[in-house]
Amino acid sequence: MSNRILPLELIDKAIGSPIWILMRGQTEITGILRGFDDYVNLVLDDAVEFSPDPRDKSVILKKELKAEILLNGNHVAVLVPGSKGPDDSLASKA
Amino acid sequence: MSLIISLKMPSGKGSKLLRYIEHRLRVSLTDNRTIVGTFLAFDKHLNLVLVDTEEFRTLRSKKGGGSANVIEERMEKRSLGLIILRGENVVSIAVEGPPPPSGGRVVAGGPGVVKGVGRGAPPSTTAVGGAPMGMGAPMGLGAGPVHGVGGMAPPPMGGPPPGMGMPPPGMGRGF
Repeated sequence: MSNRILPLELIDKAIGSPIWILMRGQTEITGILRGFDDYVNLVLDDAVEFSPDPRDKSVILKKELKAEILLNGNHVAVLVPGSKGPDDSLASKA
Repeated sequence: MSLIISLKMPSGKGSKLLRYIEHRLRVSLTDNRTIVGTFLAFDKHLNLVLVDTEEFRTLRSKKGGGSANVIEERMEKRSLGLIILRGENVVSIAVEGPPPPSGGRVVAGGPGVVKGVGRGAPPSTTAVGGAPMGMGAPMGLGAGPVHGVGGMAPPPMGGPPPGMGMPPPGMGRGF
């Protein structure tokens, strides 16, 4: 029996609630977490992608994917459970 | 104590990291990001759980065209709160500082837990003790997700008081 909460258990607890994924690079995705596996491949509902405009990197484009998506865990860097994304109040720029 | 650790983390790397639980860590990632947060948990992949997390990115943009090769460096800082960091992306971990006083960690709990009431033993014990129950797959899934996430934050808050916040007391309390 573990003494502490393992990282993957924490993701498990976020199932059904919003989650904010920071990918390697600058792309970020938010959505409702439906499920995941050991590789941290993720299934997200109502996913919204935030990625920098290729022409002007300081502009962030918001793309609503409007579907259930399977996100490959290969490029996942950080998961923020309970957050609705970069516009969330907690994530306001300091 | 050491027995438990060696069973759990055969590499021995675990015990070195365990020492820094509750400390502030600075983690640099493969994509030039730096994450600073209070270290709560890890696993064999070096996946990390951090609270009160801040992300730092240096964005480089060329300013002025032609011969004027001025590269502007902008440090962008964001507060992320409670995060899970994938071990795959970890390049290095440095200890930024000692465990912060529990008052400083209240923020990460989100809007719902503004008060640092968790200093007393009972809430902390229930929170820490209750969480591992989610380990069994059915239990974990069964637990209300929203509550689960909300429930995550209190343990750090109610965790070991500053000063004595070393892993052993914290772990002993959990079980």
